[in-house]
Amino acid sequence: MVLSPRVRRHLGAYLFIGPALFLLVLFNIWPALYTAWLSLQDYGILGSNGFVGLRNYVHVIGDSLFWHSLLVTSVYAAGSAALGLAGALGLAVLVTRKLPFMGWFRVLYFVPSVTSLFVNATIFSWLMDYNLGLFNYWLISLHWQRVPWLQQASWALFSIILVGAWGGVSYNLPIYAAALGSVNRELYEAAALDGANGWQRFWFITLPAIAPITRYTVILAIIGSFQLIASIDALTGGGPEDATLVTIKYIQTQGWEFLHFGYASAITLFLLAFLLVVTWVQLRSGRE
Amino acid sequence: MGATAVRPRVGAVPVRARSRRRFTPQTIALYAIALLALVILLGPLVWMFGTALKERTEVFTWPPSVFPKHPHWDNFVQAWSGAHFSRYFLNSAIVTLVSVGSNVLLGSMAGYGFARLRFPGRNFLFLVVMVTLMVPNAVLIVPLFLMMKNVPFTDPGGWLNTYQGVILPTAVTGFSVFLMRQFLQGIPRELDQAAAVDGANLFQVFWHVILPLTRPVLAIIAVFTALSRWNDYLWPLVAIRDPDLYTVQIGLKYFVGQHAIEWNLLMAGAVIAAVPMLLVYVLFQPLFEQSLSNLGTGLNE
Repeated sequence: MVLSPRVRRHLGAYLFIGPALFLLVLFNIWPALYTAWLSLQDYGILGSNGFVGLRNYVHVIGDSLFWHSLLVTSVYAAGSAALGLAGALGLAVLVTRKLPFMGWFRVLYFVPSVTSLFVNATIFSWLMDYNLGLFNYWLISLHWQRVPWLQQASWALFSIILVGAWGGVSYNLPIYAAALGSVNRELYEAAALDGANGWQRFWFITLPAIAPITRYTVILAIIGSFQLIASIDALTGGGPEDATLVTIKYIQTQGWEFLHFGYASAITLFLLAFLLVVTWVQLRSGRE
Repeated sequence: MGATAVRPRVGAVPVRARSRRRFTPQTIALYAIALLALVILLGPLVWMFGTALKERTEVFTWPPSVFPKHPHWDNFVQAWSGAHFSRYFLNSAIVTLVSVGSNVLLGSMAGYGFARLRFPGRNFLFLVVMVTLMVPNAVLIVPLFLMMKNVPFTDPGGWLNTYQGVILPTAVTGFSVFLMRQFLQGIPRELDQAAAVDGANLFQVFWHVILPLTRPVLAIIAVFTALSRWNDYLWPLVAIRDPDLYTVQIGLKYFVGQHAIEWNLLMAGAVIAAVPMLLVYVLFQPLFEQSLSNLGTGLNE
């Protein structure tokens, strides 16, 4: 068979992109569509027990535990993103000051981002241990009472948010530090000449100038929050009394404990829809 | 009168004024904040190392000390061989190294194709790559689990509990393809076109010209792939039930279940899980700085 040079060039190109594209479609695009198909079935560990139409969706809408998990996830996302990003921005302002050793601080602050979420959360489960943990040791040394960080429903979500914020500060700091470095110097000089003080310059120049980066870090933090399961597993397992049952943990429970894969798929699609709406709102609000 | 004479004239002695400013209360406060942040961010990791070196009884002593007087290295031996962390470590290393290799090779090939070659459907296919970047991993675990379980022509259980089952879903990521394409678009085409004119075929150009040119971005792909695969939790958790195939993260998870009270051994396991990526960070820190700051400035523009 004789191929024209043009066709041969095209074939060569497809050989280069082919393997990656095949894997990406097979393991990213196809599973997303497969989820939609699964969500329409009563699907157990042995396979499909039949097509059930929208029944799974109707059940999800009436499933109070699902809505509870979505609320828990949202509270976690909002709390850890707000604390983590504010902390990261504050420290970024600090380390970008022209002072000796700030470069070293900057390098060290990132270390918690290279250890895994599960390792970090395991360390916090030790720090927050009710009887022997360091946190309660300090509280007792100050003549306060022990705090049931992870044992009591009213504290557990707060504790998980603290751990998430801790990681968020570390991860977002270099992103903010770079963003701060790219803000136009002349704006600050002009403002200083007009008599603006440090706070005013931060509020009216820095924050608007880094708004695009903030929008991006917020979206990234939210998407990360909705996939958070490592620290839940290491710290609370979703308890106590479902106080930290995030949606992804609920999906895992429905799928791998109850073997309701069709139902787990329907929840997954609700989660995805929710995430898309949040991202869209966030992007839109930035444009205005 | 005397006061105005002492006050440094603006612009006259800027160097002295600046060096003196270093020791103002404000600067001291800034360093205090920086140190406090350091303790908060690194303290937990230091505490992990300290606990991992304690003897069992020392873990319970009040008041607690960060490091024990006599480091008890035996904890690491117990975690490594007694708790099978050697096996988990090997599994993680295999998964990580294969993923790094395939992401670097397949990602750079596809990135080269999208950046330099012309073929029908190029824009649409690149859009497909970009869409994969936006699909959260959490959305994929249920369908991926069932796909791996039902791989055609395999035993019941499919490719669950196999290395290929753990590795394949992230053998190449849209991120790797995207990075390579972006990088190549910033390099003048003349460099690789000259070689093509000399009669080299596409693969020779790719191998002898493109790969050496793109070493910095290949390193970034390798480091970030290593980081995400070594630290991966959700997919190995659902894809693996066989303890012989646990990765370190999963090994640590089940270790928690068994040894919840033996904090020193648990922390020794956590150290084993953490050390390789800490080393990667120490060795490749400039790469992290560079790529994260590219992200920071790039998105701002």
